[in-house]
Amino acid sequence: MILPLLHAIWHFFHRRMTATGFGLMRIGWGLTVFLFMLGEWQDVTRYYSAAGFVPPHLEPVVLRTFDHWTLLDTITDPQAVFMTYLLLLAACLCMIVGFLPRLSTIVAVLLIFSFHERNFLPLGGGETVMRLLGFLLMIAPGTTAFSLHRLRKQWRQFRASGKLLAPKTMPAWPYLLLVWQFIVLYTMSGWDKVLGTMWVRGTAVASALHHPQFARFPPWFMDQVSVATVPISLATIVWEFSWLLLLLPARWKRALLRGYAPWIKRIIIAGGLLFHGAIFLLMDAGSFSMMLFTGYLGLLTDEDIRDLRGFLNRGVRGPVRRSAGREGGKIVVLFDGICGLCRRSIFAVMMMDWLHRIVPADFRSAAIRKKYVPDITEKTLDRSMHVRFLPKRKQAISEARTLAGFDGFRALTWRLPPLWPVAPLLYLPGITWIGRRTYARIAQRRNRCRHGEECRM
Amino acid sequence: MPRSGSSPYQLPRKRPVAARGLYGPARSCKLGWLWRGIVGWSIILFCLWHMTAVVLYSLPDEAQDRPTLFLRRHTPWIMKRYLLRTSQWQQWDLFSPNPLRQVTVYSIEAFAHGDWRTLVTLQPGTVAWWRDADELKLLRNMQDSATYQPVLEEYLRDFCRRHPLSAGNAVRLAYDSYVLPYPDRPMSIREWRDWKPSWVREIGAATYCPSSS
Repeated sequence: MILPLLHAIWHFFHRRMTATGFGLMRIGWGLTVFLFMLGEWQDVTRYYSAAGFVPPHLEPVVLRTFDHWTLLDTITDPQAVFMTYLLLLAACLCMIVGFLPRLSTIVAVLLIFSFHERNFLPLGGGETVMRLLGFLLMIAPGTTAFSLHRLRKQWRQFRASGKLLAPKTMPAWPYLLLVWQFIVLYTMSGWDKVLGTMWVRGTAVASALHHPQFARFPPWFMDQVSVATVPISLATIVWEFSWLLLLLPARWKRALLRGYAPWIKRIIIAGGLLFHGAIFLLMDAGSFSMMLFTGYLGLLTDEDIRDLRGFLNRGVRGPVRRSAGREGGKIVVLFDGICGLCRRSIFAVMMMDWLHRIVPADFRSAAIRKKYVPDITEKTLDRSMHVRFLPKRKQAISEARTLAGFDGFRALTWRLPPLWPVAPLLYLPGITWIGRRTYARIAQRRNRCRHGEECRM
Repeated sequence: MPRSGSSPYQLPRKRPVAARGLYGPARSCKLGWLWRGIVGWSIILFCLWHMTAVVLYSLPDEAQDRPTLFLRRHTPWIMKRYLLRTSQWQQWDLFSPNPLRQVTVYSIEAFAHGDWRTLVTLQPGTVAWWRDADELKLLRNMQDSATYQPVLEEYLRDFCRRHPLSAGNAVRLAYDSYVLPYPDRPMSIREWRDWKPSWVREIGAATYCPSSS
């Protein structure tokens, strides 16, 4: 009786899950803190140094005198405080790119704690969320997802085996702490709202929108939005309490909703995106909305990411959705396996293939050629990179659409999310001509040196 | 050498939970299972501790019902200390129980030629957009409490130091404020348009510029 219970508790906290959410949350946290702290550039010494308006002798007026610690109790000189601030910004940048992700996270979080604990006066809800998420990032294993460290490991693995590492995982307990934090945040917020009168009467939203220190738009515009004050006020309370649904045991949710059980969390998060997105657009509430969006990234599970990928792949020809092994609708990228530049290029493509639409294929293998391009000779393939759109089941492979060189690269940009911003630019007048010439030049020079990794263009 | 064509993504091998360890593959060690158990259960206990502390600390101050008062009274001091020390203290009273209705325009004024002249007005539009949230928030936080009087005076002296004001110059912080309506029912667009604020002027703090400015 006790042993199965202990096993269930252990499994609940230590089951492995994707670290993608926390990796993205690390990047989002670093970016948000960087941007909002950058805004304090002019005020850092005013707010946080001994030469500011809270000198050490006034600290007891502003700060609690017990259970309080900050590095800025030791670092008080304005120049030293500014250097500490620069260190925080640098740590945030390292978090964004994932350079020494563990160390940079610890440094950035401890420094943000120090700044916040030095002066409470400019702090708001966004700063509180900043500290809470920062703490979880600091203690969570798995924040190295999407980091340069991970990229190096991926490259080593790819060079050795031609395959990428399995997605990074972490134990579930940081995720559970994050979910709990969100439940507490919204439930307490909803509870506090029903203790007042304006939210229940439905007049709160109109009042908040007419406060000129928060409103981003002039009163005539806010007047129009305020027409919906009653439904928005009441919907806010209902939505905040809906976070309690996440406490329902997974078994109950599955029994009640079957395959739709994960949608409870997704609908609640979608409500959050709508609610905080509207706040962000209409009101200046500091970093609050941005920080909560960052926190939502950490709530993504394997199932969410898989379904999101499936949703984004819906428009793609063929059954790419949910099909890890099936290849219909995917694109085969044929590369030269004995060329270092080509291998690095295909690795970069695979790193950007977030939607799992690419099938890399080394055309030096006769089996691969027979499988994907029986109608194209090795000599032709050697001239430039070919991409082939895998056909639906009953179509012959040789009838599949095939593009080569710059045209192939341009087609790829639509399939690789990080290149989406570049894709439309490649259709500008003249770009095709320049692109084809540049590609041909690089491909020609590539053929001069084909002796492995050391061969660079 | 890449020999692909199949899925480039390796599938994670499925192993029993006990064999997996906490942070990946279990290390081969005689006392490995014991160590993993101690660390694993410590983490579980920490999570339960943290979750309890967070929920007890964030109970709304406005709630005066018996269970809440009981919980607040009996929250172990060590839990509060834990949250304060780890900067995890939190209260979720944003725009609640009712949204902020007081609107204030802050002005810093100096006494010159027998009259008070406005040097700076602090409100959205006069402070850079990337600074106004913090600057107005800290002034708002200090507005209604006499405790912050010395900090406000220091705020003014700091202003003197950063602006060309001579020593001994009298400066003050003025609040021009009004309160948004508190209606029983939602107001129509016409009612909002017809509504006129009644401004009130108060002096928050006054001091003299220090000699170092």
